This record gives sequence, C-alpha cells and structure tokens, in this order.
Amino acid sequence: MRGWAAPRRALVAALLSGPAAGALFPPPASAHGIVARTDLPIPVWLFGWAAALILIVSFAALAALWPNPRLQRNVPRRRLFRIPVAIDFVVSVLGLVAFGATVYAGLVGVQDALGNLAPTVIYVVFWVGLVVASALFGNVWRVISPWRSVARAASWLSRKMSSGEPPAALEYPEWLGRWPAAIGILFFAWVELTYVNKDDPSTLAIMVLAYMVVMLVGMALYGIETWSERADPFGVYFGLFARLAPLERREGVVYARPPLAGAPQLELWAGTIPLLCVAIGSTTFDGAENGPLWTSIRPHLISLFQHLGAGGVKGDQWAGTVGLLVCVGIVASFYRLGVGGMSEVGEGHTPDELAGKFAHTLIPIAFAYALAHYFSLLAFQGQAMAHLISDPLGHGSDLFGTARTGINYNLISASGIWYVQVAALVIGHVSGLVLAHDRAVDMYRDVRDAVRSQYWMLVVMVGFTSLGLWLLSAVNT
Amino acid sequence: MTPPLAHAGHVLVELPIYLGPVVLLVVWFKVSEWRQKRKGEQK
Repeated sequence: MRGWAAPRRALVAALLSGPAAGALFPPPASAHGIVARTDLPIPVWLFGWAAALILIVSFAALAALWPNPRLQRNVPRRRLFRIPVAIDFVVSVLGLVAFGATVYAGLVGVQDALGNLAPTVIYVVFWVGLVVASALFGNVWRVISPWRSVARAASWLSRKMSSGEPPAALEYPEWLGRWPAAIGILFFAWVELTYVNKDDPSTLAIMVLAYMVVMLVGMALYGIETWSERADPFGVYFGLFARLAPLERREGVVYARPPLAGAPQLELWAGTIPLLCVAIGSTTFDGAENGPLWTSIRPHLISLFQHLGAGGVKGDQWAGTVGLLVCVGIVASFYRLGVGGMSEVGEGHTPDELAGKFAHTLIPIAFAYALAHYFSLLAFQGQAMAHLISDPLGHGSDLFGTARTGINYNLISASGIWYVQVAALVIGHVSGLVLAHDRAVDMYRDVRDAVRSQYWMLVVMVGFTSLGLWLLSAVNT
Repeated sequence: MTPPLAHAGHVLVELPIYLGPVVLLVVWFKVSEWRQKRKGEQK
C-alpha cells in the first residue's frame, strides 16, 4: 500500500523547503543535500521580523485609533437574501451522497491512500477545505453535516409517525461544555499525524461510520442543536472558523457583517480554550514533524518507547503522541503566560477570567495556522478530486470523464505559496490583536490600562507568528 | 542508543533568530514596567 502521509509530506516539503530552506541556510542547507533555489528578495528569517514589525505597528494604530469597542455588541448587519428550503435540502442530500461515496470507496475501493477517494476527501476536502469555506462563507458545515441531516430526518419522521409528544432531550451537562469537541479534534489530529493506519482507506471508513453512530446517539440524547453546537467535534470546530466570516445565517436569512464580528460572541463554555489550543497545537506539531527539531528528538523517543516494550511502528506512534501533546501543551502554556502577564495590569482581573474573556482571539490564529500549513496541500492535492470523483474506488472507472486529469503543479509557484503563508499568518495575528484590543477597551474602565494589558497579548501574537514562520521555514531542513 | 543530533545545531541557531522579536518585546515591557514603578516610588 502506498502511504498517504509520506507523499503528502514530500509534496508539502518540496513546495515549502525550496524558498524557505534555501533562503535561510544557503551553506548549511546544501551541506545537508537540500536543493535550495529561491527568488525571495530577503532572507526568510527577515520575514519573521517584518511580520513582528507589522504586528507592533498594528498594535500602536489600534491603541491610537480604536478607543471604543466596535465588535462586542450591536454590530451592524445587512440583510442579503433568504436561502430557499429546497437549496438546504439539496445541499444536505449532496452531503449525504458525498458521505456515502467516501465510506463506500474506503471499504470497497483499492486500499491505496492516493488511489482511493476516502483519504483525500477526509484529509484535504473535509479537514482543510471546510476550514477555509467556513471562514469565508460562514457555517456551511451545519447544512452539509450528514449526521445532522440524518438526525433531522429521523426527528421529522418520528414526529410524523407518532401521535404524542416526542420524549424531551436530556439536559446537557454544563461541566461538559466543548470538552467532547476538544477531545474529538485531538483524536482526529492524532489519527492524521501519528496513527500507524492513518493511510488505510477501510480503517478511515470504519472510523467515519463509528463517528456517525456516536454523533447520532449524542443528538438523540441531548438534542440535535445542543449536541451540534457543543459536542460534535467537527460541528464545533468548523463553527469556530465560521465566526470569522463576513456572512452569517440566521433563520434562513443570510446577513453581511464585519469580518471577525462573530468571534466576540463565543460562549465561554468549558473546554473552549483546550479546543483552540488543540487546533493550534496539532497544526504546530504537523509543521514541527517535518522540521529539524523533531527529527532530532524523535529517535530518542522511539528508542525510549522501544525500551519500554513498544516494538516497530508502535514506538514511532507513541513518539508522535508525545510530540502532539507537548505541542498542544506549549500552545496552552504560551497563552496562559500571556493572560498571566495581562492580569498584572490594574482592575484585578484574574488569569482565569482573562483566559476565558480572550479565548476568542485564538480563533484567527488557529485559522492562520491551518491555512498557512495546509495551503499547498489544498491547492495541489485538492486538484486530485477531479480524477478521484471519476474513479473513486481506484478500479479504473471514468464516471465523469475526468479520470485522467492530473495535478497542475504550476498552479502556484513555491514563492507564491510562501507569500500566501506569510500573509495568512500576519493577517490572522493582526486579526487576533484587533479582537483582543476590542475586548480590552470594553472590559477595562481606563483605556490606558486596556492598552497596557494588551502588551502581553502582543507578545503572544508575535510569539505565535514567529513560531509559525519558523515551523514553515524549517520544513525538511 | 545514540540518536542523530545533526540538526540540533541549526535549531539552536535559528530559534533565537525567529524568537528575537518576542524576547525584545518582553525586555522592553519589563523595562518600561520597572521605570514606571520607579517613577511612582519617587513621587
């Protein structure tokens, strides 16, 4: 079986390491056999310093020009259009068809990560594509979600067929909050990054089916909307990014709103901060996995786990698990340090209170990390969908006449990818600063205290930007 | 158990270069804090 992760990593590395490694380490890189050719005008590390400068200038501009909160409440919205129920129905059916085709291909098709439809749909279209779609168009997953569609259809049928009132949903435990979502996303990241059978289409298909069963049981117990908003890992995950979108849907009507305006309304349910730390930390580990630091540490960990009895690939899997958890821990600690620093500034806000109040500022960072790290994967491997929909099982069929369509690697140059990544990181972190500043001027009575409190948020944002650029630049060095 | 550490040197060189702005910001904020405290004490 050809592996999914290896070609994916090779593709990303080949696309990223050209400009990044080449500019950063001309002599050492060539010493390590890396072909480095770049047309970037400045060294890659200088992009990091330039990004930090942009954040500092943005911070100063916010302090001078944004004295009152603008995104906290009564944000202006403009009604655009109503979505007909028929469109919702068609999209839901298409979501179910795509789900069925993915599972069927995974179970019945060729057990080859690149020749089978399932891995590309799950790891590229679903995991990356829907993040981008959510940030651009709002919560599209709410309509596409196959388990939500099935649950709604079942609910409608049961109402039609039974004469009495349907049994009331159980009360969702307050303490559970978004914890199921945090754990679910961590588990998915673990599967994607470290699980030994992550490439296996049939294993993925079985996992998808099991996931659907769990979702349906949860929705049956606690109600479709409550479960979707709090516990369905992907429903919650995509819903976070939808808060950044300039479009919002309410009761079937689409409204235009300022970008980011949905983020400050993020409910402070338990597990929200862990979920965001998992989102950022898992992408961090995905980037670090291709870099020199992990390359140095990994053999140590594998040896350690082999000494403890984990033979063969299991040692690697355990090493990856540790790496993933450490990255999530680093992100959480860094955020905690930021809010700890913030709490030293007047008015007696505790670190716990501040951590909750500023949690929404991590959403654009999570989006920036995801876009920067997976952009090339989406741009190139996303094209593989053209031939995979014609030959989803990998048996040589040509359903739509596109089975011979290849991937155009000239779609965007290596430098172009690098610029998109830098822009994503900078815009994402400036957005984080905007959200943090807006919350601070709303919370603090004295504007000067609000600005001073944000010194630490600036450190957090610059730190995350630098870390992101370092990870991208270090790919495959 | 002698794992390859050939890349560790690069990491040690690169990381401070990338984290430089963070370190400078922290130092700057700490110094301003200290100066403000001293001003308050003098008053």
